[in-house]
Amino acid sequence: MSSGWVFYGLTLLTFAGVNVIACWALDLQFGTAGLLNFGFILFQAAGAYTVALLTLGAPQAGGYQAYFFGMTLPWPLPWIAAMAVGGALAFVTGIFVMGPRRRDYQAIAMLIVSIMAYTVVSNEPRLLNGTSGLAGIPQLFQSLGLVTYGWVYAGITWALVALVYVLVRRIKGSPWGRLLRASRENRTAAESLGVNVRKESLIIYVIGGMLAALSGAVLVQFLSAWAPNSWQYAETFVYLTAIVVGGTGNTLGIVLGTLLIQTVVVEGVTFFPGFAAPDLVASLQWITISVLVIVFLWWRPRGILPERKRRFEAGKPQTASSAVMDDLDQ
Amino acid sequence: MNTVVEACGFGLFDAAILALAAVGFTLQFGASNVFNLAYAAVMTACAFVAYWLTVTVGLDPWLALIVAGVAGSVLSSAMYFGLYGPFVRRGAGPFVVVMVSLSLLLIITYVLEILFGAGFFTLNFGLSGRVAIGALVWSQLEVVIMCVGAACVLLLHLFLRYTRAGKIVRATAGDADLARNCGVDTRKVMMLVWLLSGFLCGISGVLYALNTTVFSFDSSGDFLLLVFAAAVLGGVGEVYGAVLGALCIGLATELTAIVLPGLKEVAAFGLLLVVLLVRPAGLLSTGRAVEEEAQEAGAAAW
Repeated sequence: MSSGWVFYGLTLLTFAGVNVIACWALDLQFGTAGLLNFGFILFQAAGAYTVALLTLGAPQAGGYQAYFFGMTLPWPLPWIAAMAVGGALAFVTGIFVMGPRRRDYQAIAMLIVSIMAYTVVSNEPRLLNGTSGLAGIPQLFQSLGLVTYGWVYAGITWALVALVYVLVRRIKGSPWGRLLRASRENRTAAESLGVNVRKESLIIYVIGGMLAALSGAVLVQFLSAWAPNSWQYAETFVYLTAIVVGGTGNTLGIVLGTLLIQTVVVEGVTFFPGFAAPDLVASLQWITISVLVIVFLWWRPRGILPERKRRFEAGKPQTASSAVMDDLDQ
Repeated sequence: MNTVVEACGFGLFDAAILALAAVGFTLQFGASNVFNLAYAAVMTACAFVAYWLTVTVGLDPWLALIVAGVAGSVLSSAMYFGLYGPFVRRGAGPFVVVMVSLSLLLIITYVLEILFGAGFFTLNFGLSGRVAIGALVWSQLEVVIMCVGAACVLLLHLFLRYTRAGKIVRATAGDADLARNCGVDTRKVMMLVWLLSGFLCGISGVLYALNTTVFSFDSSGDFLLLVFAAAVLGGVGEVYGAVLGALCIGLATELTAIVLPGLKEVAAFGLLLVVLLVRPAGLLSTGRAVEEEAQEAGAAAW
């Protein structure tokens, strides 16, 4: 196999790792705590832009791209800073959008936030170079040669995936995870038992924001460029599709959903030999994903691998309220 | 000082179109509890219908406006009776409905791209010349658009307030179960609401396209933002709230444009966030829509 194909495979592997991290982050917010974050992609973008600014160096007057701030930091620091920025952004937006109790209100508010951010960044070239976006972001380990570099980067990405997996499992299995699920199932009951649902939701929202920013950080140093086109509001929808298809709340189901959407719909279509114009392919991808969502929501709303019911007493049927009581008793 | 007055003129004009769009959207939500994100895509689709009718077929523009409105009615009610209705009757929660509407938004958007291509289009009704009222200056086209917008909102107000059918719509929006128990055929009411709101949606889409210099299959994103900002600002489901929200958004965007031309939509955004923080249910909301239904939503997260 030529090195080109190996690198292509490694690229897909890296993208898959990034997407899995992002989907887990979104699922922590949505699958565990029931928060509809339709502006999720914004946090990935925040991470990506942070890394870009912290690796590009100070902006040069008259250079080919304009940005408001820049410096050069050694490797792990930009990624850590990206997570901090993602978390801070989630905290600020969370305070605003957690106000409405209705979940679809929250969803729309976040959608509006993400479209607004997109509008601002696109229309204000001095901020982050407008629609052209930032390019020339230094890649890590450039000296290693293409294929070795691909292996190392994919390795780092999947090591992070493993770390995030442990974190997600620990959160979901902890008493706090049960508390979040209880608030998702019946907010009023959880509140009546003294849970400050708004506070707990905000915490998981910030954790999700940090992980999303991490996924953006990993992605941007691999791509070495980042533009508003990479984070249009519809990108959030692709992640939500992966979650719905894989199984909301099921950590491994989401890996399955992510890989399915990425390989079959996003990458698979590009292999159709001589298949019409690229514009048409892109349109058909979006239509396919949308139809897939509607089909799944109608026939299999809990996904391919549904979230397992957690039972604490064998044989005892659980109603919603008794589940809340059980959850909180543990 | 003059620039401020002029900006207010533009703001009023933006508000007229926005109010039309936001009223239709909020009507759908108020009556059937569906957060129809695809509303923006239907607006774009109707603009394309008007474009196709005037440019390719050569129809009279004003007739095309009406036909586009009817197209909006048909498309909207097809969406409700084909998809939203079955999902809602099955007891789907807010997430499912919003996801379905987002899917529809993308489907319509990309079907439009396949049909019309990714280019930019211009609608032209051939009205130029300027009209000045005091310090306020509008073009003839803008005056006509404003009159159409204001007339539609006024007619809707009269319909909802004074006709029997309008009262039934309001009763169903207030409590669908109670209305059904009193012998109201809520399916017919839904049909009426979605036909009516779809018509408003279609008209507002065409007016928007007339107002902006160019539109494309991708214009839905811009519509989405402004329409939902106006509707949420006023309190979703509140028809008069939507008009108020549209006024606030229209004036805020144009007044900001004096200082920061590139970022005028940010004003809409800031305003919306402040309102969400202070009055989460929107300016004119009675709180019913948010608090009581949150309980139901909580009981059936899905």
